Amino acid sequence: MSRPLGLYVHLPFCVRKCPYCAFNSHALTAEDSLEGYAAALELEARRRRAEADRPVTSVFFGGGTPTVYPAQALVRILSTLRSVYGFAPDCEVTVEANPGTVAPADFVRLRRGGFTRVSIGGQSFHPDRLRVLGRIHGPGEIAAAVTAAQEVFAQVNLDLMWALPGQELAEWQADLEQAVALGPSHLSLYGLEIEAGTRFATLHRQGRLKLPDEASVLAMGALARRRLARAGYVQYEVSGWARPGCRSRHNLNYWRRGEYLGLGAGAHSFVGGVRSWNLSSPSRYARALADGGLARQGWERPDRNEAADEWLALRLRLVEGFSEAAFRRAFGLTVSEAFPGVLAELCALGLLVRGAGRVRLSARGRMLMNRVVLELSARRIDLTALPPSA
Amino acid sequence: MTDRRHIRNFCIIAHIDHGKSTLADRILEATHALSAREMTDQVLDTMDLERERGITIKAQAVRLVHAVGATQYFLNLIDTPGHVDFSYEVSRSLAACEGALLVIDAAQGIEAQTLANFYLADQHRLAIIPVINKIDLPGADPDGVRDALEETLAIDGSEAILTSAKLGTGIDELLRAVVERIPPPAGDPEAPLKALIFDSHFDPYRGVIAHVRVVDGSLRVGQGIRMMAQGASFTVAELGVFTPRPVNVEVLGVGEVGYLAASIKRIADARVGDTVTDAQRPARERLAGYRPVIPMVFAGLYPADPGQYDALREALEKLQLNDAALSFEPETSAALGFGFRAGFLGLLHLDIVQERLEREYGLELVTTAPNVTYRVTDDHGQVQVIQNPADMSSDRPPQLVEEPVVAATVIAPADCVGAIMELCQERRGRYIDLTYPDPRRVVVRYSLPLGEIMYDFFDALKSRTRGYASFDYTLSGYEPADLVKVDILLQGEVVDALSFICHRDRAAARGREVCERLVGILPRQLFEVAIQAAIGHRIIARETVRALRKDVLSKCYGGDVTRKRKLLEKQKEGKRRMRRIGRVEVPQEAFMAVLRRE
Repeated sequence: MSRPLGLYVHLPFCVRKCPYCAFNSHALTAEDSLEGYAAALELEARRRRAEADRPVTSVFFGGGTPTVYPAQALVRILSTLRSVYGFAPDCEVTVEANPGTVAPADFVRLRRGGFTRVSIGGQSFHPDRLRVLGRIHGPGEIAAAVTAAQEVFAQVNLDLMWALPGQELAEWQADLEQAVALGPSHLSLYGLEIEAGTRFATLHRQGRLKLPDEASVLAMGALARRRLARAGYVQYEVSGWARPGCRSRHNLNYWRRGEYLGLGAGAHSFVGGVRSWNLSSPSRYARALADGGLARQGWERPDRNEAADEWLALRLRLVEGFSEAAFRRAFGLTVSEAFPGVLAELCALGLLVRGAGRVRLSARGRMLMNRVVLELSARRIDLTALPPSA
Repeated sequence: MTDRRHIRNFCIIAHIDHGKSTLADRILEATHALSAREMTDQVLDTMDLERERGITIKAQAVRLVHAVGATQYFLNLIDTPGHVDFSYEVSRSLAACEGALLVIDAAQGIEAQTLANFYLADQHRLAIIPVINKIDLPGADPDGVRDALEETLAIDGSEAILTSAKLGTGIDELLRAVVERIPPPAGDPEAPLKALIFDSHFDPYRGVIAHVRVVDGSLRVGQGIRMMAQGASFTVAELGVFTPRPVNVEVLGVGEVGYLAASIKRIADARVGDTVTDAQRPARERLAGYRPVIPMVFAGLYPADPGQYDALREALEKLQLNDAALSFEPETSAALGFGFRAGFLGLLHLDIVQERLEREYGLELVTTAPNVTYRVTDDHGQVQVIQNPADMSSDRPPQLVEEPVVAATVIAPADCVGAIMELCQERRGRYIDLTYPDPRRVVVRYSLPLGEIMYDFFDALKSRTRGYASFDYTLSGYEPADLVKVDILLQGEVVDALSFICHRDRAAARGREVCERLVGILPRQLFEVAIQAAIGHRIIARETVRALRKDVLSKCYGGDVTRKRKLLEKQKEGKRRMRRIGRVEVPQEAFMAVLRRE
């Protein structure tokens, strides 16, 4: 099998912007042209064809809310991509869909048009929580969307959020029960983070968000781990659970520091050791492409230190961690040499586990992932000072 | 050389904010030393910091010309620092004068510094002209102030001159009084030279500029001179007076005030209070009142970035050229690495030095909580002065510990007397006396340990007297006290930079306070951190910082790894700025934690 190559397509429009969301998403206004943006995407895809030297192994339509586009429009974009890049035979093709923007017939159209996986942004089954999160749908629409998607898709993901303002353990338990009862092939559980520049950040600063305390959050996390394990889901990433064989190939590629092309406003790419990103404003993005250029805003080539930091920050998200041999192949020295002393310290604290040639986080360490990565990175030797590895 | 009968040397003394600087400006205007166009407010305060803080740090003298009839008088106005940290400099400025304008706010009346300044001026036998200023204020009560002058200071209230420096009223009358009531300088023109250095500052081109008052004899350009206390000899390169612009002169005669430059490299060689004499024909004894500056407050100054150690040393050396009161010695702390123990006149002085190091030299500092000096006597009767609490042995407590003590004066509305005494009592004060200059006011005098008043005493005093109290003090010596050293431990390891000395009765409470404060300052770590306070081996307080249990980004950034890495870099930068003590990361502000109370 050749090296994976991901293809991310950003569709930034939403019916309205959620107050916790820091993604590059925009409430749809009358001036926005869905068609114009889609045309720009196709232009970008064609102009950047040379960046892909092999067929694409996974595609992800993310947002925003991709399903503000009619299913036919999404299918048309997908077929353009397929003809431009070529897809590997078992290519995973995911589209995000928000309850309230999709009807059962849409799923059929998407499946027929070549999508193989749907990710549904449910977030919560509790009406109060959905209201606080600013979602446009109710709990009933989540169940309906998942059920309808399951009729035609073997691979369905459901997003849930936890550690929400006002949320209590019993309520989170009820959310998990409903999710398990629906039985999607994949579950993503995102703990709420207060991100700079969001409405939630303002409310938080003003002390108007009643967030659960650390002990409750930890209890919610532990509960999810137990309940989902009992239901046959296997955690493979900080936020990801899947039935066997149903892990998200597209996301795994990110965590393994594989290559991907990102198309669309604000989309990020990582090809040939270079990270680059597009203009984030949809209108400026579309204009740049209409004017005959690319919409690239910036790029960087991480040096060996930065590459090692990325390696840790990404691979440690995975329950499988990383192979010490693979680290040595990539950086030319052992992890113990690269992070003198600190590895043993973190193992002694019970946060890292080292064995069978792999390094991974313990369940406790996973809740402290940022700190563990910070500790490691802060005490990493300077890898740029070493002779280049073979 | 000026006929000394036509010279008047005077200063202006006042409580803070009673209008001293504005009055000085009006006098300069009225004597045409500056045109209205040249007037910037408060010209005597030259340094930016002084202007920002509204405090005069360095005294200066200005020669003004004022005609009465056909006679021209030369009025030397000598400015004085306005803060208790600089009381020695004030006393040297007063010693250069024959008279003083005692400025009192017509609405505020007599305050603690009014009293302190009056006593100081009286000690120097200066002719005092009371000036009741701000008579334009709606709350002005000049008659009340006249009565208080008589009651409190035994000054004839009818002698007071009423002014409004703001509006310029009363200034002519004031100048007339300066000429008529202040005696001309005495002194013997034929005697060997004696000139008092009442201020000095460092000029990067000419070396030290000494501000001098000639008492006997005369100073000439080219003359060989000797500093009588310091012993160093120089040749006068330049003499001049400030008008306020510097104007060169060939000679400064008896009673004259001006400046001299003599290629003096270090300010320590032209110390305030020293006597300049002729190298060939020296005076027999120097002028009275010289005192080497003794820093009373010490703090550790450490570069936030250890690589800046040499830069910090160079900056301190440069500051010292201009600040004879600043002392420093290299010091090593297990917690903070290489730095300096620096001595200051007081907390304001420390603040100013710290700010100048940061602002003018771009240094980032970790400052330990300041402490006073202690005199300790060991079993063998050996006496040692300790400038750093860490230097006191934890295992073998000294036989005798003495601390510096001040005589403090508080003036406040009479109904505050209870609150004031309670506060002084809490701060281990010893009652001296209590007087009522008028039925509405009380003057409370206490002997207080310097260590108990240097941080927040004045703030506490103001809050307990609705802001009305004024406060002043002078050092009165060392007194024995039951003092112990309290160590602070992190994970069982003593953090030398956090040790402090306090009274045994307060040790447990203060230890607990510091531990509690550290709980708020220390970030949670990957493991539990024990914070303890101990006297010797006895633990007197304990707090725990619980281990951090959650710090994870659960979301996928759609491939935006750059952002995640930038965040990591920022966090690493924050981590680098912390000090590592054992395994514990300690933010820099923790080292000031012992400072605040309550």
